[in-house]
Amino acid sequence: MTPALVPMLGLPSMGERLPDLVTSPGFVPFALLVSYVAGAAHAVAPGHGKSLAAAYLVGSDGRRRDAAWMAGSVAVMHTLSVLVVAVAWTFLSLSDLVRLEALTASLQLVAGLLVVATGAWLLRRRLRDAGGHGHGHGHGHGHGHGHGHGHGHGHGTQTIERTETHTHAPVRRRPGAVLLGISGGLVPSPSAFLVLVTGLYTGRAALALALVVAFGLGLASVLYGVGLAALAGSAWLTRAAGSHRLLGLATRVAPALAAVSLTLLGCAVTALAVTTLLG
Amino acid sequence: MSLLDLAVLRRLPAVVVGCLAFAALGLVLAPLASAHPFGDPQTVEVTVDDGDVRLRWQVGGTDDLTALALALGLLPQDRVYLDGATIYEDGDGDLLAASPRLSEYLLDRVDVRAGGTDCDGELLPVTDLAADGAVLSFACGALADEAVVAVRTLTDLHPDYRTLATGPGGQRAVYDDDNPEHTWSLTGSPEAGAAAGSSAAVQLGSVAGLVVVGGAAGAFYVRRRGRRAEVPAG
Repeated sequence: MTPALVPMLGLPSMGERLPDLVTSPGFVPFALLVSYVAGAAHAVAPGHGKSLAAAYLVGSDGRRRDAAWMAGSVAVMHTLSVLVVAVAWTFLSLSDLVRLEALTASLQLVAGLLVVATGAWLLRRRLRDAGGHGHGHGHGHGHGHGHGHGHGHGHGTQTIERTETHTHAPVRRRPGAVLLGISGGLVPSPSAFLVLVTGLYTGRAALALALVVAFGLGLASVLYGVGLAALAGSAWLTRAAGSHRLLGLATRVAPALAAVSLTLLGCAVTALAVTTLLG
Repeated sequence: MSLLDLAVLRRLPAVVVGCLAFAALGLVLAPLASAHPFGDPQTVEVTVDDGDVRLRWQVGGTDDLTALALALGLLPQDRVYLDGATIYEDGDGDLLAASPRLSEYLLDRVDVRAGGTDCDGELLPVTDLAADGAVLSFACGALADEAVVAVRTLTDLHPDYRTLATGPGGQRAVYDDDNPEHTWSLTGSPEAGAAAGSSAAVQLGSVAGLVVVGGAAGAFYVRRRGRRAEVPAG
């Protein structure tokens, strides 16, 4: 551990000291680890898509693979977002065109609208499913399901958890997971942005970008962990529902509730971004 | 259920425990990573004009002007919120610009040495501090090829402040609490800036290429392992 890194871990502003990793000499693998942990710590702070991830995975009968796609999309999108903004700020005088506050508020607005769209799509699917089950009419089953997207279904693990969905055509969850991941990574973290800009200014762009990638992986790890926890909770609820009528009701209501929550959270994010832009 | 799923399922408890432990570590660290509004960082632009070294200093967020006005005693302390935050209000910049304390502060926190001697500095008239920043002009007599410029603005308010600086011919540097000085070539050619841009492009391209190749190799490995696992189950 280098002298530069030791005080960094003890200071009450880990994220803000992250650019020190670029300007101070140090052991690169350890710097990457610190950046990874800082990314995870950033994701754990309120408002970084954890509730959205959990709501989507529960609401869409998601699987571990969907959680992985969502987390991967967050990491990729966050890295791209930081890269584009930092390079434009450094070399293209981005600040002459738009203040970063306004730019990030605009990105937040796009992110919020993506969440609203995903939530609305999920809610619509839930309502359609509920309509089909409740009345037994056949007309709900034929809409838009003729894609031959049959691979990957019918695994043993699904038999307990997804008995309801087996009566339907295969469900497409991945686009929603990726959209939410993109939404989660669209707004760059101030720390990661400063790390890359510092790297560009000091001629250490490679190290800085590697740190940003590690930061994004830290973000993604937390979202993946939250996703797994949400799926485990959902699966437990489904299993327990067999013996408790109340839990059975909760099992039926939870996905729809999650879809509504996702839409409302998206509306809140959008409203916050609009307020910032107008303010 | 495929063998791949079985293998993943067996590892699931370890994965979940690992993720929860990681999240717990993050929970411990999260309060330490204090939230900060996203904004432009503090900047300094070093130029040579008519034999003088000039520095245009500009704050990142306008709330930094409010924080500075508070620190210089130009605003009452009740402008500080309970959580320590300050919010910029119209007039804060003008108040600061009109005060001689701004000039004293900037000339105390910024200095220029050229040819081994300190240069005399002055603050040029400020028009719009929030939008255009403030310009300091340093007369260095016979101008040397190089100048040592020290910038310590705002690090007295908080050591995490850093200044991103540009100089003649596209030179760049970062000032922070540990690195308050930088030597600038005053005859910097545009080629130096272009070379820095090319170097950054090569470095970024190399890392991006490695990440893409690594990701593709990982995806290929996972798919191949999945196929192998499915064959015996066939």
